[in-house]
Amino acid sequence: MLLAAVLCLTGCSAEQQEESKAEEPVEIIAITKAMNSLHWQSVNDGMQQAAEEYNVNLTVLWPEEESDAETQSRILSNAAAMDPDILLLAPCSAADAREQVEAAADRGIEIVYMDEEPEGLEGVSYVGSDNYYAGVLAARSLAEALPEGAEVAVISGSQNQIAHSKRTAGFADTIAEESSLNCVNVVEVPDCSLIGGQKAMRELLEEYENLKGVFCTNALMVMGAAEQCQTEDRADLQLVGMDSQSDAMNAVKEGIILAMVSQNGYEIGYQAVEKSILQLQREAVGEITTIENSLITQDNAEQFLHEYVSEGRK
Amino acid sequence: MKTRIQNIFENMEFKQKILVMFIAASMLLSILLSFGFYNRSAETIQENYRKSMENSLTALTKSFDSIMRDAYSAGVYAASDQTIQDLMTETESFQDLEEELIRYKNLNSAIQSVYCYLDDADVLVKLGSEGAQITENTEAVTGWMEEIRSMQADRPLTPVFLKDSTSLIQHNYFTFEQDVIDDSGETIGFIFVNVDERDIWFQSLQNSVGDGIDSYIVLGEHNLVASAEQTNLLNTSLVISEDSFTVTADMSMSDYRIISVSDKAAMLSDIKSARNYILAFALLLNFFFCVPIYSMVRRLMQPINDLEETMEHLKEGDLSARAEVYHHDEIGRLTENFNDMLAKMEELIDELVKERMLKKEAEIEALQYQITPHFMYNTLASIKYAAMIGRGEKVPELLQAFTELLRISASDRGSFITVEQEVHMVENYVRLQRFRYDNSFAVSFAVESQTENFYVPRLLIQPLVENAILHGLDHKQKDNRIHVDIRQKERNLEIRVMDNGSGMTEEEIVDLLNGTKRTKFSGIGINNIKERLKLYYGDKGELRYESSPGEGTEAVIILPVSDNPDRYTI
Repeated sequence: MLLAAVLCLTGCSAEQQEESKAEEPVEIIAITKAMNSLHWQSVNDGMQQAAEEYNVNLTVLWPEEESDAETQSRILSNAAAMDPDILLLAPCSAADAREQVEAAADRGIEIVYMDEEPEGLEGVSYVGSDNYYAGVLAARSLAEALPEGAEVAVISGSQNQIAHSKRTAGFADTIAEESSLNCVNVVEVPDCSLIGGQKAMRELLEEYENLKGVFCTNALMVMGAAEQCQTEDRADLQLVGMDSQSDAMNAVKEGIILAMVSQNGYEIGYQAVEKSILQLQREAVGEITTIENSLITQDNAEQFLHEYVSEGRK
Repeated sequence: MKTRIQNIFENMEFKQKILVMFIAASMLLSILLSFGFYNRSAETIQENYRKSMENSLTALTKSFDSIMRDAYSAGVYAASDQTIQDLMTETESFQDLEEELIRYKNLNSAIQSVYCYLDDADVLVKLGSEGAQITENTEAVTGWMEEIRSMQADRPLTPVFLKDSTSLIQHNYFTFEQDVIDDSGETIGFIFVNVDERDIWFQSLQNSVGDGIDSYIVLGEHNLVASAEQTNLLNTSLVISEDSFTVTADMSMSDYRIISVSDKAAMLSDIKSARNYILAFALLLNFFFCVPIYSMVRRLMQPINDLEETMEHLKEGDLSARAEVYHHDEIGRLTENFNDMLAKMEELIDELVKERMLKKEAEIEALQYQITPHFMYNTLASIKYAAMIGRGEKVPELLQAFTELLRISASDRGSFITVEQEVHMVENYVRLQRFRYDNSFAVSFAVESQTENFYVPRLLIQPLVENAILHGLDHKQKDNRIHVDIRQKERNLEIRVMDNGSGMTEEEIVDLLNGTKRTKFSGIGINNIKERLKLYYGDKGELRYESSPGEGTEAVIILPVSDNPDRYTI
């Protein structure tokens, strides 16, 4: 009898282990503006890492180009139809997306914006850069480097995107209020691409002989602009760009670009997932989280590159 | 209510009992250990297995998701592509359209084909690995398209699993569908992106199949969609048996899940046989250890065997046998105590034997002593004298008394007689002596009636009386008195023989009690009385003399009351 009892005991504990199912994972669908730049690839890396750590089922979708609001809209509508727990959205056009986003929120889906600030949307958290401040930093760096009264211009991404419009605004306001520089033009490159930036640079150089500095609101465009300057032998023109991209940072290290405003795509992606979970748990709703932007100059470019590499990206 | 087994066990030799108990305990331990080991290991194995399966399934789901994401994206991009939208109103040449579609088909090598339905032309342009094909819209085609569209409508990110009934060779596809809507909002056609289910198995899921492992892609609860071996499983339900071990992983984007089912028994078979080997081995060892253990127990039991032997000797009467003390454990102490007990026993038996012998001696003495010829001669002489001096009328009385004495001594052979009988004898004796001593003394008796039936040793009182008559009295006097008082005091009988004679000194008393002087009548001495009293009654029997010269003498006998003649006999 004793034998049977002890056998049962040792047997029981084996059975118990059977049905210990993990708790249900959180379903997140993230839609970025595109995946054709290192910036978005960093954002994706950050999101994937956070998804692993937080028991999240993460799906990431994107249109082919940052300007393709129509495709993104279709993707957004398909994603919302799947009723995920959370929608992480970096809208190509905030205005276009608004109606769909509100409809999704009505259905109980938590919305968190990345990269684009959610103007006028209640209960939507934001994770991204303080884009206005980024523009301010860029302006200050040019102001320091250029003589009084010099001419500067902006090559901006689609003004439909709040990110780019705010960066432009931050830059223009600071130039006007804080410096003696003169902002002569803002050129829009809707697809925010390298080639677009190159083309825009060419146009600016043609039109403004005395142009001394240009602020490009992302890395692709500033790389394109730098190329154009090289071709036209205008190494004297100071360029400031934005985004933590290794090729751009290398250019800063080598003095081709004056400065880059850092944007930690990895952090944005990672914290977007984190904050969205908090929002789902009702612990932090409609919170604004800005990921620090700093100025990458020739002095600290090495350090930024090192950190960039050590955090596991290309 | 003992069971047979209990009976058998209890009657086994002690050595065997120990052996049996040891074997039983050891086997029980072995069984518990092996089962315990098995259970814990089974747990661990299952845990590890589960973790490793989960990991590999997670990798597989990632791969599946990646393919499906590209397939979905291809559909969306194609449907949003302005160029394609423009080309879809074509009715004659579809080559340009095909060229545009190829770009999207190449988004992922797992995409088998892309179909594009043109509403205007009412044809299905099929772009597959073998090239392009134009198919007229038939019922089958329409049916297929409608089914896809209706199933896709609610869950646009979940591909529809359906057999391609638009082709001769009907593959099972995972299909994504997108409506193509032109700028005016009109639907001008549909785009279908197809992934071959067999490709999925070969590319993603091949490694999830192995020995005793089956993997299934399911939709919903257990609605089987595809498995490694079989196709055409749509709408079959997956049934998982109780002895199976399942691990599930969800696809991120779509509603599909992958379930991996393995045979628990197969997974645990190795460890099960390990357990059985260990168990068999342990049992075998147990049996081998029987022999050395048995001989060890035998050795330990040696002292007990010795004890047993010694007892055998004792039974045969050898009281001097002693057992050997081997160690100072419990058995050693037992043996020591046993030996001590034997020594004590020897002592006691010796004492007992001695005591018995003494009693017997005393008894034999008492029994042997009949009326002495000396007394008989003197008595007969005095009777003859009586006849001679003309006191012939006394003769019958004297003869009567004499014959009474003879009768009593001849008949009664027991060691104990009643008080009445003893008194009767004393009376007869006294009668004879009074005649001889010419009535120089008088004897009075005071006997409590209930004492008459008590038993006392024979010749207890007579010697005292004789002693008083022969040594205590001065027969020249005429007022000699002897009084015999017998009474019961609680549990004792008190016999007093008092005389008013010359008394005795201390030394004379001591001499009398301890000496070996024998009486004339029976030859029994006062000392004998004392001895017998001691032997029969121990402390409870007593003879003492109280006397001082010139004060008379009183002999006191105290003994326990007895109404049983055999109680104190040996």
